[in-house]
Amino acid sequence: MKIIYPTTEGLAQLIPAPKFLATLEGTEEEKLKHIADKDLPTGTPYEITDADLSDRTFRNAWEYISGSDEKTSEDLSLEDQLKYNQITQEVYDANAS
Amino acid sequence: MSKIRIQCNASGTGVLTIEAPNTNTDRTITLPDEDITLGGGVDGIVSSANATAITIDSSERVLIESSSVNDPLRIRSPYPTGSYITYSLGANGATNGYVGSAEPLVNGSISDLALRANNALVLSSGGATERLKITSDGRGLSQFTAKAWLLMNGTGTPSVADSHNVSSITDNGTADYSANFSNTMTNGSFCVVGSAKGDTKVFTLVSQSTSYARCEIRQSTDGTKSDNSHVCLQVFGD
Repeated sequence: MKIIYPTTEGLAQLIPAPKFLATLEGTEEEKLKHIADKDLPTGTPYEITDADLSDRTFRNAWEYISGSDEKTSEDLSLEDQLKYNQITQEVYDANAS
Repeated sequence: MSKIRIQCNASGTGVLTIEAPNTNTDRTITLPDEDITLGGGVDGIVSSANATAITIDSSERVLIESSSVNDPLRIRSPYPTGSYITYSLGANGATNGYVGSAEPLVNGSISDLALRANNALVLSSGGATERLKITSDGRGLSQFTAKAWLLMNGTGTPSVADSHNVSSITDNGTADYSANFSNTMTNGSFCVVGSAKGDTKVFTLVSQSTSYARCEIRQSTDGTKSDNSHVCLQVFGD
């Protein structure tokens, strides 16, 4: 399973690192959604797919076409942002309720 | 009035002597209000200390060859003159502790030395300056350890063969890959080192930010981008 999303250059695919994936809990789709929220800019449309994209002929001509399963990346929770060093403890303390 | 009874043993022949010290001061032996049995001497423990050598204070702190410290346990041994070795656990009652030494902590052969902490393990030198922190998720944070590294296959369906502090890779196009860090860097000024398999393959850094490093693999002969089966990347910095 991987994540595909549009870029200004066409289509990019996000492939999870197995070691990081092993640290997450939930279903595979929930894990990939977490990675999308973490590694894609917030608001990026994406799809989780197991399509075979191994034929890289004309790779740079690939285009992203929205499908029915399209999702949009969201902000991580403050706890996860702190965990991944995306915000400082001071920012967390100022925003945590 | 309670009474004092000294009872002889009918079977023994020895003489029990209670001897007074050479003193001009009245002394009192106060017994506890409970049944007790006095023990004999313990082999292997000899004291010739001329001052307090071991203290157990009212806060249950144990001090050996030390005083005026706030640690639950402190062992201090003058060796050599003017130097000492100190072991302190849970400084000031907090959950953090430290081990300090003016001499090598381990002198001689030892098969394994294990240091454990429930959270981060921090090694300092030059006083309290933090030199290496091993985080609870296994990262080694210092100026001399890799903050992240990656070995990936960029052919077919790109995949991560092995990695450290990398959550995912991005296939941006032909021979155009990004390593996305699990834990972001503190700032964007860090060093990226990379390589790819093949005599004519050149690793080129495209861009970097606190959350990723992006690279391309190009042919040295004509500069065209070419997918590669062994793309390696290491990151050093803050």
